[in-house]
Amino acid sequence: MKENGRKTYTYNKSMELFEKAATLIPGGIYGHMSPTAMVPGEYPYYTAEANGCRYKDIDGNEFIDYMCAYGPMVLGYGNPVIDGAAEAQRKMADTTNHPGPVMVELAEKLVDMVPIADWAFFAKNGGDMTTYATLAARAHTNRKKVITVRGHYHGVAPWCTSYGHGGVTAEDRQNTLQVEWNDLDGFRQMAKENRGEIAAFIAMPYHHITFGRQELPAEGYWTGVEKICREEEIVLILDDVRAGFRLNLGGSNEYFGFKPDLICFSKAVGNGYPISACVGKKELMTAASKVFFTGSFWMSAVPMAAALATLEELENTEAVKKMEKSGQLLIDGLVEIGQRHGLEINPSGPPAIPFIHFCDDPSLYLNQLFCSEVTKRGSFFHPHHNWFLSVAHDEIDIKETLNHAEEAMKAVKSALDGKSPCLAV
Amino acid sequence: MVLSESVLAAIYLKAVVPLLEDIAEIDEEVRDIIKDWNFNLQFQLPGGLHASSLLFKEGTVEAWRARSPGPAAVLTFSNAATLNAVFQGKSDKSPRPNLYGLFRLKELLKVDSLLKKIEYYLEPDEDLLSDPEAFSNCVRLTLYAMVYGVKVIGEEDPDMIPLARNLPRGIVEIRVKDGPAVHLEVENGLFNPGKGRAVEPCAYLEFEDLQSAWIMLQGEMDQFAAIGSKKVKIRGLIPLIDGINPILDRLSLYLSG
Ligand SMILES: Cc1ncc(COP(=O)(O)O)c(C=O)c1O
Repeated sequence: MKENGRKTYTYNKSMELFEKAATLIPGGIYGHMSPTAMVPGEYPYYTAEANGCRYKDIDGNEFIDYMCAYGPMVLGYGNPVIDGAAEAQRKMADTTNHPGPVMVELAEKLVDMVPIADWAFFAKNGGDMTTYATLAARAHTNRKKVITVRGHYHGVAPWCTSYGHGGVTAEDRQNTLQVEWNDLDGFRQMAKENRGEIAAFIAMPYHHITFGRQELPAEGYWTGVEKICREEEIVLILDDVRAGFRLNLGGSNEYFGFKPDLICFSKAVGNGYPISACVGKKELMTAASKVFFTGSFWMSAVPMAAALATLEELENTEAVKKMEKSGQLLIDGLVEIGQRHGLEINPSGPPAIPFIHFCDDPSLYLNQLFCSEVTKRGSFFHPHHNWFLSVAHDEIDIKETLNHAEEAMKAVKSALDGKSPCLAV
Repeated sequence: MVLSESVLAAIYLKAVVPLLEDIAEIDEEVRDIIKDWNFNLQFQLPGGLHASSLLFKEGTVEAWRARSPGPAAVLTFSNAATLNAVFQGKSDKSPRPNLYGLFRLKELLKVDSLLKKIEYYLEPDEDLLSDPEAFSNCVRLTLYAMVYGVKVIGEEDPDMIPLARNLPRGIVEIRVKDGPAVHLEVENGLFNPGKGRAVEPCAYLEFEDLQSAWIMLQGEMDQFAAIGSKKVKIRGLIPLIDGINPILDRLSLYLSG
């Protein structure tokens, strides 16, 4: 399709490769990157190359990226400082019989940066750390149950995966209780009814669930939760896998004003190198040491060197401030475009991790239409999942994206043409 | 996995038997059998709580997924397991007719051939599938059985009830492009299925063609791959479609027994 002499994107090569993949790999592409999670057929499926805040798919389309690999990219793809540190470590050693000295350096860096941290533990994925944290909490309290917030994502281990997904049994979930987000009374009640049985409460720092609006904690929510946890001797675990290092370098609890006992990090901590971390208070260190939890690649030194460099670079570039500023610019621009075209846009979440919904669009048809149209013009917007800013996004990139959004909005208006959104998408 | 005989019996009574209403519209042989039938026929388990009725009138059939609204020839199966065995062709133990039914014995002897017609469309042979119109009918009838089956499972299978209660509220439409459609309204763990398209669905799942629909309905499709390659299109409230999936899987499990 052509627009102002410029073609909008097509994804023929992605589709072709996917056809082949589907004969070799269950689902073709599985998990959170499955095309089913976006608008299938209207998005790229495979990356060819990436640099800064941009990447190219295998059809040669270039995107300004607002998913940042679903969070890990925080300083730009191919960042020379991070890649340089990783390369220097690679030349020495990576996966061997022992960890490298860099493991101790990295632990020390995290303990320095994160106010609640007295120790640090490393693995690969966010889900490794949320499971580890709940095990450590159980070992510490000698209790079985864990309270979670309905809809919060902590990975794919059966204890935190919804019943109904393949292979998960009701028994897997029998020690996992659920409360609603921001429901302090509900939490208090549950803690009381299960007194002496709750090992941990685990939650994201704010409500950012796929398909939903992002909701910040209500006034007094986190301090209330913290108080109940202290009174009931429940370990308070912050799952900062997604938001970590985008709101506050000391953990998102510093941004919202509370002190958890354990924090799980991953995603942004290594700027794309595979590493996750759990940090905790010293009271939990002995219990944490009793949990047998490990993996073949968990001690690899290259991702640790990359993480160390990432943490330093986040400090040196005033990353948090910069991401907030560009996120705000993006959101203000989108809201203004919506207003001008008579389609009201409601932003939600902190500017560095923003998301949008259209007014009166509970089924997300308009999100699906608009985000895929923006993506076809060169800025990758996910229709169902919160977005991410990075330090590599400059004002000039945001302005280019707003131009894509302007054209996309016109395309949405013409597709709607008085029709209900469910007939237009 | 232990499947419940009573849930399976409810699937036969509420999702499968009522298909005769639609089959009578498309099948001349069925119309010929029932052309002079003017009475109500009720299949049930003892007590009649689980029942399904066919109201015959001048060559047409109206299905009720409940007891008959008037006097009926009632066929009572001794229990759910017997009903299931009979419907699966594993037993020829006849259900017990009531007194009214005894006066209809001539007709009741033909009920078996009516029920065989359901199997004919739900498990068609190659010949039937090669006729495009018949193929479309097979897909349509299977879609009907599917949505009514989802209602039974979501509301009655003990493992699925909690999951069904957690589904987002809304109407999902399942359709074949330019072909048959069904829809399902979901609210608080209760399901309201319907034939044809919905006015304003919250989500839809559209098969590219009859073939894709058929493969999916036979449980032989990698749905994620099919969606990724655009053989199946999904839009709108995806968690509603996602959430119904395990219920559909459970339905296939029941019907594969
Ligand atoms: C809040 C949160 N916790 C845990 C995880 C799981 O992390 P991973 O996919 O690295 O196992 C994620 C991943 O998206 C997440 O967003």
